[in-house]
Amino acid sequence: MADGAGLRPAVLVRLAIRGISARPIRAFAVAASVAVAVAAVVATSGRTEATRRAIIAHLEDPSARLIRVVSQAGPDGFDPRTIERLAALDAVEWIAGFGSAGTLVRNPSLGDSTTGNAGQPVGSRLFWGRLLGGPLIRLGGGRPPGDGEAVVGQRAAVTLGLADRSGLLDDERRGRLAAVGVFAAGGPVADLAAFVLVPGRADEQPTELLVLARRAVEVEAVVRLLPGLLGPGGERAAIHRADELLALRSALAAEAGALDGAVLLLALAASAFIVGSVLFGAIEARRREFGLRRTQGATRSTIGALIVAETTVLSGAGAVIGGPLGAALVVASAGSWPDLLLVLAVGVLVVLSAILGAIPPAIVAAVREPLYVLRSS
Amino acid sequence: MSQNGDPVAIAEHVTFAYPANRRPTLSDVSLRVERGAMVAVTGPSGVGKSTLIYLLGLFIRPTEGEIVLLGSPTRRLSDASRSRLRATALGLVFQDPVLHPELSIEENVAEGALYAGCSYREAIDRARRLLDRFGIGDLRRRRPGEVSGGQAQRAVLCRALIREPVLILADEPTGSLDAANGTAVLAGLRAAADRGAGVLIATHSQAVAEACDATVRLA
Repeated sequence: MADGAGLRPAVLVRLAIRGISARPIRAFAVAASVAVAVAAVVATSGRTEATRRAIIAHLEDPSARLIRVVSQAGPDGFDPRTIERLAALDAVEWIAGFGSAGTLVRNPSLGDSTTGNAGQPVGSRLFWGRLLGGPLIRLGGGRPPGDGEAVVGQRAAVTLGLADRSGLLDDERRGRLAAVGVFAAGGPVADLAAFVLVPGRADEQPTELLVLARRAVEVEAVVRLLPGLLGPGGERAAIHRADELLALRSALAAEAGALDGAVLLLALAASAFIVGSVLFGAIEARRREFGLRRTQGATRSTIGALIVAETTVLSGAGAVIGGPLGAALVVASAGSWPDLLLVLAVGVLVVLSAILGAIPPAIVAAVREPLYVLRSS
Repeated sequence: MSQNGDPVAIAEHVTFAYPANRRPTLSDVSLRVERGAMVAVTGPSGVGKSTLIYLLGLFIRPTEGEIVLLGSPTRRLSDASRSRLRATALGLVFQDPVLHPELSIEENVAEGALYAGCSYREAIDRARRLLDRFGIGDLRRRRPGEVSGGQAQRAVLCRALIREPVLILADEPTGSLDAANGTAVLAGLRAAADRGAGVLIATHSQAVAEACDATVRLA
């Protein structure tokens, strides 16, 4: 005969699985409720996470990393050497300086410039720095301009009728210029595509600087450094950055986190409640079974463990179904897979909450006296 | 080493009253069940025969007196200790064959050994041997609802015997059976007694009482 050590764990699991297969409707109710809870939390959290990733990606966009510095010193601007100093910073990916006032440029081949009948004019701006090598402005054809030359924005080229991206231009300030290339401008500087850009000279000064931080988190550090690096009058410069975007990021992240937490808590409470309710109903129907097991030597803890084991198996199965289901919903709605760790964590938490929900009915079943079976037999 | 004649269960001046009743169901009852002996408890309905079975099966505690099993008093035993004693030392046979309806006959019989720590495989093997011995081996895969009452009662007896108990408590074990099945059940109980178990049978049947070695009449 056995040594009286009690029910073996492997036998407990076997009895639990046997008990589940004997009552398929109750098993389905428990597994389905857990599956729905897991799927709901994974779908909600996964979508939120996808949105959060999109926001962060957006904040790494140049529009979020761009710092605009405008001189407040009237016609005097910044020392052009400032641009080289700022370009040397690790946190700065790209920098360019621009003159303040634009002059008009025309294409003399389209008419008589002296009579003002030389086609539609466009504005010109002076620039400093490695303008055409950055992520915002790219040379689409031709070469960078030298002294007496200019590059033309794509929209300006259309206006000026520069079909082959080169030609001669008349500038009100510089006189005759050779257009040697066409550039494309995007993002926050897209409007520059409507201008002709002319290299600034040493005796001229930029009145506006565009500084692109390497990462969004470095914007703040660059902004703090700027007044000291701008030279005389730098402390009076107006510095503009994408504060609204940064604030939006914080707000959305916090909101998303709060939503995640609320959905998770709701799902955990719901799964615990549903599983507990289903099991309470089932235990009434299984009084005779539990009583009979007690007459055969099952301890109270064995009865409780049996119910918890059944719940663990069922809710585990529910989590296995609900996890991929929730992930599929995320893919369908957000177009990306949720984090595997998130799916696993949600599955484990919901299973634990289901087990928690099973404990009260397990206790009720365990404390029932087996005398009921004996007296009703 | 215990042997036939050693007491396996002793009721010492036992009194018991159900909470809802003013008068005790049992009052100052004493008896002794020895190894190898079959003892009948007889008496009219309501005299407390079944209650005595419940007391010796450790399902309830006496209001007064003591139940001694295998030489040890049981009054102060915890519920878990009582359950373990039931799992290892006691076998129970009820008047109606109470079985799990969703399990097969062999699974029902095997359950009798599982709570004592037996492996599932071993319990099933034992169950099959017992079912063969009692002539219902070919029914082992059937559900309780698919066999006769007599066949189900034989299965209940197998479940009681599978753990090789030292004390078998039977409450009207042949009460709902025909003569052939009743004889088979009694023969099974006698065989268990011959192997050294003490058997206590609560019965109305004169024939069953006469088949026992001793009779205790409750009045």
